[in-house]
Amino acid sequence: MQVLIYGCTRLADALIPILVQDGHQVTVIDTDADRLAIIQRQAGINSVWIADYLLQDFLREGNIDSAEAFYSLSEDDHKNLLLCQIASAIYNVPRTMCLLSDPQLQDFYEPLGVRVLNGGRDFLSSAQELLDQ
Amino acid sequence: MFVIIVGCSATGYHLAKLLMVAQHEVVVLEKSLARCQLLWDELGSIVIHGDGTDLLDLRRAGITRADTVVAVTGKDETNLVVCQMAKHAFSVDRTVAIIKDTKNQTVFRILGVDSVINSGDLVLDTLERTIVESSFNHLSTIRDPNTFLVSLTIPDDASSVGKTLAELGMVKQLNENGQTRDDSNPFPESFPCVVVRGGKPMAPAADMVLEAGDELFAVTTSEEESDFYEKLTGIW
Repeated sequence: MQVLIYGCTRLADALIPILVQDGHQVTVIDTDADRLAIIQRQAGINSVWIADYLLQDFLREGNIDSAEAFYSLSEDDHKNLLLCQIASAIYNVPRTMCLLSDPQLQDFYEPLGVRVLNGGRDFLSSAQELLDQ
Repeated sequence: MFVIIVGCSATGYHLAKLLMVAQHEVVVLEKSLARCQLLWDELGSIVIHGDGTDLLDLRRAGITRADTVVAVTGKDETNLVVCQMAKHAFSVDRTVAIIKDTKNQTVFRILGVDSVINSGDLVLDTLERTIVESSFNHLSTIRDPNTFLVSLTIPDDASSVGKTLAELGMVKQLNENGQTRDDSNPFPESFPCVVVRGGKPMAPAADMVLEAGDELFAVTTSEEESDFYEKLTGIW
């Protein structure tokens, strides 16, 4: 499956090897070129560096048009929300998941149809569930 | 009207002042305490220290009876969250967001923000008009993001002076069967609406001859604008 991930966080670090191992094609985008360089050393990952104000252009460079799953895993809840909603509403990505650290935002956005991830113990299993559907 | 402004940088501050002068009820939510302390001296108790993406803080600001919520924090994504909370949690009538990234305009609309103001575009437009003199005066956006009402004073040396609107291809012309001639209008989306000559507005007609100094009001789109302008002035 074509998987696009926004945010080179520790959670992404944990998730990516599993996805690659399962045979998924993973592309990672981030605003931090250094972190991308580190993550790119892992086998089989495409990375795209993005500049903040051009988020959508770089989503396209990361082939969001053909992505079958999108994870927003940055540390910024609001940015995750924006990107996840762009992925599903504009680019019709069928599976999207949004990391939110603020419990209030989790409660608010889940009923609005945003699939919420939290960084807790079950992070990896719930992230993988997305691809099973 | 009761307006809640989220984020009080320069834009939020001046907006709050404007609205207060116009006798509206205003509450400002600002996240930075340091900023709040400055604002309390200036604006008084209408400034509340709080987070516009926190349901409790929004409630404290009185959002349940707000008519309008304006999100003017410096971050597009935060402005989206503010507006979505106002809309979905509190059913606020009108939500307004300021954005920096042009591409977010459509996204925000689709995601339920009532009015999206593109500050980046406004600044760019103004700069372009100041630096590049040879362009239309943009008066208003008719259908965002692409159709505008523009005005132009025909310069003395314009190539269009002495030509009729029909010759310039600015009005539709009919063939002998009463249908629009395909070749008669190179600008399907652009057309003159009013021509003001010597202070007198006139409806544009096919046989109207353009004169230098005519002020022309027209509708155009971002795609056709430069060609339309060139046709009217001869300036590329």
